[in-house]
This record gives sequence, structure tokens and C-alpha cells, in this order.
Amino acid sequence: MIDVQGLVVRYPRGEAVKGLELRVEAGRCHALLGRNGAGKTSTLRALLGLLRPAGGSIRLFGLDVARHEAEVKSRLAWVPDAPAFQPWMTVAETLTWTAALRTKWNLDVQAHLLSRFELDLDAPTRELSKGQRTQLALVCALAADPELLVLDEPTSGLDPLVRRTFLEAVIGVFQDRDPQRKTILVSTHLISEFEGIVDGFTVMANGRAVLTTQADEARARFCRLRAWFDGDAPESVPMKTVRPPRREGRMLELVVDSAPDEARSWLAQAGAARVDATALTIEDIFLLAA
Amino acid sequence: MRWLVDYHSGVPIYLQLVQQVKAAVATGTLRSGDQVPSVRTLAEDLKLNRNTVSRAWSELETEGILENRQGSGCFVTSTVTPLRRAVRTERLAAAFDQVIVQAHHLQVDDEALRALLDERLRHFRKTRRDKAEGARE
Amino acid sequence: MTPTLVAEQPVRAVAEFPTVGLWLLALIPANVVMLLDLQHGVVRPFAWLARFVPALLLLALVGWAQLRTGPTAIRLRRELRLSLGPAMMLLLGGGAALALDVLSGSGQALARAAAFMTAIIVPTAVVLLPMSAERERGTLLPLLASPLGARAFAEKFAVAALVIVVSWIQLSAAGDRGSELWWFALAGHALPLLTVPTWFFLLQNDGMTLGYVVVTPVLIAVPIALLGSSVAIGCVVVFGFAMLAGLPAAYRRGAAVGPPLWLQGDVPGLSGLERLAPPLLRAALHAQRPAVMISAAGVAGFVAIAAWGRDSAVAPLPLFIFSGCAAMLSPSLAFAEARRVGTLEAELVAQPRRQVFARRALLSGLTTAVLCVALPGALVAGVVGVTGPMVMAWCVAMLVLWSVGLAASVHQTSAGSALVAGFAVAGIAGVGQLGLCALAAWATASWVGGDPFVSRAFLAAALAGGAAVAFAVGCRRFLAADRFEPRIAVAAVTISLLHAAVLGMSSALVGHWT
Repeated sequence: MIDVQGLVVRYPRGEAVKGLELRVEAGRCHALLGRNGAGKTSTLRALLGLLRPAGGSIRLFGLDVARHEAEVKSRLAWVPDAPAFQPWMTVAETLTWTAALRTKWNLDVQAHLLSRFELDLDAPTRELSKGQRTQLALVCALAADPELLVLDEPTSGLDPLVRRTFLEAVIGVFQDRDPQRKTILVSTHLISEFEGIVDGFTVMANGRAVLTTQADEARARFCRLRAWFDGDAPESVPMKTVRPPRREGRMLELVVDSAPDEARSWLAQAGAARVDATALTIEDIFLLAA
Repeated sequence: MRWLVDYHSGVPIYLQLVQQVKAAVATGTLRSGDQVPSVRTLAEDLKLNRNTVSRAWSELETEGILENRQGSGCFVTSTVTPLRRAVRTERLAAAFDQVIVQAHHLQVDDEALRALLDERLRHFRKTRRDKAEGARE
Repeated sequence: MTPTLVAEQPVRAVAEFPTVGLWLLALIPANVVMLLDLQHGVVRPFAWLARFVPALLLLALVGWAQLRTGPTAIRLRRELRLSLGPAMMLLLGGGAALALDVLSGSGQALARAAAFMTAIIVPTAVVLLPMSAERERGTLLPLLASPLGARAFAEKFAVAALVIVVSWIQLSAAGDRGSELWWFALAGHALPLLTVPTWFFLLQNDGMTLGYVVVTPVLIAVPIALLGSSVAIGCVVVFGFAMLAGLPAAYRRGAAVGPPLWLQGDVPGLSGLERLAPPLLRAALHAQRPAVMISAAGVAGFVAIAAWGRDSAVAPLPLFIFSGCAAMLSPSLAFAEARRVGTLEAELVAQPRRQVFARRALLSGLTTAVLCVALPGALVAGVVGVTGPMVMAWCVAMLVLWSVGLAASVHQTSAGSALVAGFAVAGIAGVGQLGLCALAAWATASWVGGDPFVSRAFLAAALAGGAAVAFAVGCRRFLAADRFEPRIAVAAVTISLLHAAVLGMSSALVGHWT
């Protein structure tokens, strides 16, 4: 569904993306994680056709983004981090205006979401709170019946209730019909919120992808082991760890990114009295990788 | 029934759901004929990808634990499984193997292991009995 | 601890010299005035010195800001850098117009029109842009909330005031004191200084500020002028000072929640008309409101002057100026302002770039054609009468301004900076093309013999060619989502200059053969 090869995005001050590779299959939800300035927004903007990449190829739905612009754009929708509307337009007028831009428009979805979010149709958009603006942007995106939903920091700065209803709407409405063809690409800092919904993720740093993996696989691979020994903890460990092991007297803590069982058995053989193993969540993995 | 997803366990999410359903059926929390939440409702409540929940539900259907009645929802089937006894025993033997390996790693000897098995069986029976009594009242 | 408003590190004075050195050009107008006097055989050393003093004061301020390193100096450096563009346009534009006035008598009307266009829009830009830059950077609200905010804005105002005084002094050298043109230039310089800051704090964006600055005095003057022109002038003066007096209140209000509702441009009649249109068209028309307002002001000015029964040569001038401003503003509202609000990106994600560009460019073009060519043309033809060359000159001027406005605004994020860039490019390119055309004609004539006169049709064709190049550049930059590429600019400049040269040569050859 999404196939990005060797993406290069160049700005006058330097390169924001230096050869990114990204593949997402249809029906998956993929997260793009990275610190501020890692190149996430530039990648999304290149995908959406808002800027021209200096190199590489982007194919969405198997079509080249530059050559089949109209077809690609009619099948995707975007919820930006700062939704922009004409300040003088009411909610109803904004929906009519957005509908006029799109080739498909689902009035049932629009009505359902409007009642769910309780948006006032006659309120001018300049009077909407940040949460309501994001909700309106989501209505505009979902009512267009897209196959690809691109979310750029959708829930940052929103109160917990709005965040919850946002996620529920994405799961409940976007994935409603034909969920095998509905793909989500989300760039976020609130990783723990998207932990359950994400199938795979890519961690970006300095314009490159430093880690791309499936979520379940990552949670199975990455493991933090804490072992308490009767005597002093061993000095070194034979396994490859993500960062140097931490020793505090009798306690030894190490983080491995493969074969956690081997690490456990080694610790048991080395004489650990107690071994505590926890898998790492995506957020923990991000903090290690970025 | 309370659903729990533990992102720190390292177990794939769909598998956690499958295991929770199986455990619930085994302890009597879910009895045959009970309805489990639809894919959409559970996904929304737990903030999970719908495909994950669907995968869990279809795996349970394949194993014969759930059945999907069109229009009504997903229900727990009666506990008679269509699998042959030999296949069932083989699957259980594999699960036992894993437990034995873990016991070895945790340095629990055979006697202690058998005692533990008896104790856990007693616990499950007691829970089932308590649940059945609670339902009758 | 007093909060500092410093955003950048102090830059070494030497490294900044090339840009700062441009301020020396502020001395040129005073020199031009001196040369004009000498040409007429007048020697007035004290008057010349008086004209040099404000320019020298300005340069002294620039020098002081460069050499000192305190927070005030750093703030002033930033203000001066922001003001440099519009200030240079104002000072040089006026000076160039005066020079053209002297060199070629036949271009007098055009030169005067150019001078007075700079006399209205550019002083507004000089005062407005440094303030609007804060809004663009997102530092406006923190500045308003900070205790040093008032001082920072006062400094911006002082720099703008100094530039405007320098420009006024050189412009007042042209035209007799007390003549209509003199009053017009004075109004064009003084009114922005008095009213822009207050409008800025009351309104939401540059387009509206520009519209209100230009339109309100006209709307006040026109009905009152029926009582007498001096009464009208008096009322406008009172209005100006009243706005200045209202500045502290506006400043305090600007620091609070948004502008008052009635100033948000909700014009009842227009809204009704717009509602008849389909949604996309309606949104685009709403965005063009500031251009409509400026055009309406031009019409009002023309009607007023014509009704006074004044000199018919002068009457179309304000209409021409306002129509020119509207022609430049229309594409920047369609592209730059939409980009600033964010709705352009929303459209670009949903539709192919070509479709978005075509729709916006077409609508802006049609609006400009109606507001700036058809409507004024009909009015002038009906009231004063038109000649063929006048129609051609008017159409070409509007075409050039619109195309250059389009090219300048496709990648800008504010109407204000798009306007300044557009006027600068239009002025320089227009003068360059006309000059090269004349030069080519003169060179060809001196080679083959004959009259080097360049007929107006060829001049118009040269400018139209430049407009076409500007449109092509704007189109390409938008469709390719390109940042500014120097080779595109070089190609555009080369092609338009070549085009002008060829036309100049052809004109001389045609003159030679007939």
C-alpha cells in the first residue's frame, strides 16, 4: 500500500530526510516515531504531495504519487497537527467546502461523527477549541471515505476525553467497512496511546530509519531483565545488549533485543537468585532507539 | 468479564485475547451460550486495532471455542470440541513440555511440580464451583 | 529579570555589511533633488542640506545599531533588516519616478502614477511589515504580554517614521506645494503613519489592514468633500490623529482576545451575493474581499473627483492606482494568504496541484479583470472618455501587476511580503524592460538610420511578454512545489530582457522601413 524507497527531502538549510525506506501493507496501522526534527513531518509532507522530494520514489496503492496524482489523492485523507479552516466559515460550511474538494463523500459517516462529537453546525470555526478543531478535521477526513488515513500528531495538546473519542472514532468508523483495505499512518509523540492500535512502527533519527519492526515482534524481542545475585553481580555478559548493563551491587539490569530466553537461562546458570523479565513497550523501545 | 492487555508481557496482543478467552472458559467465567463482545466494541474499548481482535476471534472460531452467529454476534460454543482426542492430547503434551522446561530453568523439582499441578487443578475446580453456585442464586 | 526580546545571536558587523550597506542608497533621493535643482539652474545649499539631514539621521541610526551590542541595538538591527525592503522601495521608487519625470516628458503620467502608487501602498508596508513579521513568527502575543512590548513597538514605529519622513522630503520636491498632487502625496505618507498601528492591533491580517488603511480615509473624504475640499481634508486629518490617539487602547485590546466582531469584514451585501455561489467559489470570493474593497475605494475616489468637475486628466489617476494595488493584491490573497491560513495545503492534499492552481489563478484573474480593468474602464470611458493607447496602457499595466503578483505569491506565506516583493519586481523589471527596449531601438536606429522612437504598441508588447514570463514562472514554481531556484530566475530575466530587446529592434526597423 505504501512503498517509499530512498526518500530524500532537501531544504535550503540541509537534508531533512536522507534515504528513507518505508513499506506498509494494506490494512495495517504504522507509526512513525522520532524526536522533533527527525524528519517525520517532512516524510509525511512528501507522501502527501505537499513538497517535492529531491530523490527517491513514493508509491501509494501501487501508483506513483507524481504520475497518478488525482487518483492517489482521492484515496487518502490527512488530519494535520494544526487543522486549518477558514475562520469565517461555520462547521456546516466547512464540511460543504471540504466535500466539494473530494470525489467521494459519505453523509452517513458525517452525520454519525457530528452527533458523536457533538459539534455545533452553526459555530464559526474561529470559535472552536483545539479539540473541536481536531474533531472537525477528523470528520472531514473520515467522511471522504479514504483508504489511507494519515495522522500527523493528531492528539497532541488535547484533553484525555477528546483523545479517547478520537481513537474510538478512528477504530470504530474508519475501520468499519473492509478493514483489510484501510491503512493508517500515524506520526505521534503520545506513543503509549497508540500502543494497542499500531501493527508496526519505524523509528526515525536524523532523517533515517533506525529501526523498523512489527509491534508484536518487537515486544517479544526486546526484554529488560533484572537479576539479583547472592554475591556480587557479574561484571560482563556474553549476550549482545542494547546498552551497557547496569550493575548496582547485587542487581544487574540488562536490555536485550533478541533471544530473551537465552539471556534468562544464562542468568539462571550464572547463579541469579531471582530474575525479573519485562517486555518493553513501543515507547520504551523508542526511548532506547532514538 | 474484565479484559486486560499487558504490553509488558511480550506476548502478541491477539494471543493474549485468545488466552484470556480460553482461561475464562476454563474457569467458568464464560459459559457456553454466553456472548463475547463484538470485534468493534472490544477494539474501541481496549483501543486495539480491529484486525487484531478479528484475528483473535477467528482463531478462537477455528479452535471451536467461539461461533459467529450472523446478525447476533459471537457466542461461546459448548465445551465439546470437534477435535479428536489424539490431537487434543498432543496439544496438551506440547504445553506440558513448555512447563517442564520452565520448571527446569526455575529449578523446581519433579515432586514440587506435581504438587503444584494438583494444587492448581483444585483451585480451578473450586473457582468453577463457586461461579456455578453464584449463578444459581 | 527583565525579559529580553533578543532572538538571534549578535552578528559580526563586518559580515552584515553587504545588506546594511544598502541603506546608503537612502542618500540617492536627496542627490536626485540636488541634481534636479542644478539642472534648472537653481542653487540652494541650505535647502539641500535640509534634505540631507533626515537621510543622514537614518544612516546614523543604522550605524549606531550596527556598532552597539546592547539589547536595544540588537532589536533595532532586526527592525532595520525587516524594514529594509519596503524602505528601499519607497525611497528609490519615489526617486526613480522623479528622475523619469525629468528625463522623458512623455512618460510623465506613468511616472507620476508610479510615484503615487508607491506613495500609498508602500508607506503602509513600511509601517506594517515589521509589525506583521512578529505575527508571522508567532511572537506577537508574547511581545504584547511582555512589559517591553510597548517599547519594542515604539522603536518599530520610530524607524518607520524616520523612513517615511525621508521619503516625504524628497517627494515633496516634485509638484508645487499646495497642489493636489502634493496633498495626495502628503496624505499617502502621513495617513499610514497615523493609522496603521491602530488598525494592526484591531484586525486579523495584513490584507484587511491594508484595505482599511486605504479605504477608510477615502470613505470619510468622499461624502464630506461635497461640503468643500478643505473640510474634507480637515476631517481626514482629524481622523488620522484620532486613530493615533486610539493607539494605546488598541494596543491593550490587541493583547487581549481577538478583534471586535464588526471589524472582521462581515459585509452584509457581499455575504448575500457570495452565498449564491457554490462552496469552493464562495470561499475564494470571500478571500478576495480586501481587493474588492480597495477597488471600491478607487471607484469612490474617481467618482468624487469627477463629480467635483476637476481636471479630467487627474481624475483617473486614483482609480488607476487603486486598481493596480487590487491587481497585485488579488493573487497574493489567493495564494499567499491561503497558505498562511493553511487552507491551501488542505486543498492540495485533496486535489491535484494543477487543479488547485487553475482554480485559484482563474478566479483571481477574473476578479482582477472585472475589478481592475472592465469596471474602471467602463467608468472612465463613460465619464471622461478613453483613447486607444490609454486602454492598452491600462490593460498591460494590470496584466503585469497581476502576473508578477502571482509569481511573487505562490510560495510566500503572507500577503504583505508578497506585495512588497511583487511591487519591487514589477518596478525593477518594468523599468528594465522599457529601458532595454528603448536602448535596443536607439542602437538599431543608429545602425540602420531612422527614428529611434519606440511605438507604444511595441512597449506594451514588451511588458506583456514580461507578464507572460512572470506567469510561467509562478505556474512552474507552484506545480513543481519548488523552492526558489536561481536558474529559473536567471532564465526568466534573460528571456524577458531578450524579448524586450527584440521588440525594441523591431520597432526601430519598422520605423525605418515605413
